[in-house]
Amino acid sequence: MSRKRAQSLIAQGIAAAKAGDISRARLLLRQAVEIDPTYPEAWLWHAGVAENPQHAVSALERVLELDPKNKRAKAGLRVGRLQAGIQAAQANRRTEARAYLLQVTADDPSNEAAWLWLAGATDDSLEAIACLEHALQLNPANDRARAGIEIFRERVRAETQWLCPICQACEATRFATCPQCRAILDLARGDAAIANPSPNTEKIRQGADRLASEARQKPNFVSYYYLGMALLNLARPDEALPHFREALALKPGDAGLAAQVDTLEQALADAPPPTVRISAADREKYQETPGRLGLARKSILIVDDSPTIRKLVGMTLRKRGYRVMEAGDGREAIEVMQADGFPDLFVLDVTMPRMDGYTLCRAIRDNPTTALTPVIMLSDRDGFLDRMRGRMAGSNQYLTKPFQPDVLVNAVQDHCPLNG
Amino acid sequence: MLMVQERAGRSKAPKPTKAGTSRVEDDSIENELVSLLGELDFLREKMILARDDGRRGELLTFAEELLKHVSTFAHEHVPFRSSLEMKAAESKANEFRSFVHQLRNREKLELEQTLSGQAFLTLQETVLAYFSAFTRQFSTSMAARSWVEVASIFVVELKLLAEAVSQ
Repeated sequence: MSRKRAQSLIAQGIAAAKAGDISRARLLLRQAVEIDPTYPEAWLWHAGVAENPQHAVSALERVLELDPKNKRAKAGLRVGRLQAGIQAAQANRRTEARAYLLQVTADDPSNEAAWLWLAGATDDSLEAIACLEHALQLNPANDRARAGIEIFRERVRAETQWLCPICQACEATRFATCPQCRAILDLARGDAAIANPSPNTEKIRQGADRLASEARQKPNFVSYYYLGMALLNLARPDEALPHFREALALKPGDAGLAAQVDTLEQALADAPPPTVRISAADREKYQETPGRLGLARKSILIVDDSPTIRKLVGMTLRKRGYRVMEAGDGREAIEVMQADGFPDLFVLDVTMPRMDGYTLCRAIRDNPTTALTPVIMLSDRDGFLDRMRGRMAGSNQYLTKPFQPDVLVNAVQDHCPLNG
Repeated sequence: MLMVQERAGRSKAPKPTKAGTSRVEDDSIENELVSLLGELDFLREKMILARDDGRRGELLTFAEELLKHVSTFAHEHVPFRSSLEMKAAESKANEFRSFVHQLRNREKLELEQTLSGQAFLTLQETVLAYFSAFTRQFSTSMAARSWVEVASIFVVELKLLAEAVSQ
């Protein structure tokens, strides 16, 4: 019965596809292969009307499972995998793109386009060079491949040798803080840059002059960005801001940078920056003043496997003046703390993969550095035993989901006041 | 003209802004949206659990509840219900309801997975359409930036769930 129904759906699907009604054909053929997945013809037509190359590839693979000699499927698969690889590469899904393109180059090593796209999809510069050399062997007149090889060779050189973008000190490995000029080089750590305790002002100033001259002669992102960073390290954030804006104008799609520039702008609007370097005594004073250029911002670590909740809580707390760090589970939280230091308060989800909230809470309590740090637990379980479990693990407060943002903010402010 | 006024009078007016503040400074809509998104994500997590446990009936109920939250919010906070975004959202919502009706009234289960997948993809598209309408409630795109960032993460998560349901 179901076989007959499948046959009827296939016939209708093919008719719809021939008539150009692709969405109906797709629906009918999908239903047909769900009822009876043993018809190569149905999978073949299904591939022909697939929504995207990835679906087409899966359908064609099914055809070859059922009929390994099917020539149309073999030919279609080569084209489909190349298209799927290109689409994935364009969407920056590099691992997926690489997997498809590796299959294409293995099946057909004479596919010049596949080698070129594979070079772009790999994270390994040496592998990229090898791919481009293949493409160049196939077509010695391919200027893109030749130019690409030069770019990747330059990248290999840069990967093995690092130049501080501010003072141009040459080091064997990459640094987030230059060991020579001691400038902090990332706007994500802008607060730390402004409060840099030991910058080599002479070297940073020379670097800033060079970058300003470069930016004037040939405006480019790197010069503007690091000129901004140099000025931040010299505790001149008001002068740095316009350069970050210029950098952003050259990279308008960089949402991370846009958010960092916004934060800096906000901090400057809230409190005019000091124009001289802050002394140790003054820094202590600023650290007691919440919101002053963010120097003393209390930090909160949110650990939740839901990216929506992390962003939501992060957005709410950032607006109240907190610095927010995020982690998707207990283990990532530990990595974040190792990289960015310990927070002033934890917000933990109970149900998480790898390490749940209770286990992480106990680990926090067992660590002498965080033993007294407040912990707020978020859970979708409202039972007495669940609350007890949270308390026994060492949490200070237990909130149930869905929570109102104001309730969470009040809890955070109770345990970790901004001016406390 | 009169008709327009009558229609406008029937729909619930948007919440007034705080006295003395511009819409840019007034973040009441953002606060409301943050609360809404918290509730929606809570339901999304419940849907994941229901799907993992194979409780398809509950999965549908949670999906319906999620849509109810969004459409109720839209009715309370979006004054221009005849806008293109709202029309698109309401048409998608109807499409989703019709899928749910089909799923609830099916005797044969042979196509349930296909239909469920389509229903959840439609739900995701509906939520996206409503979110576009909500984004219009901000006075400037700058003011909406944080909301857009969080909402887009939620929509992607919802799409992942829809894809998982259809597999």
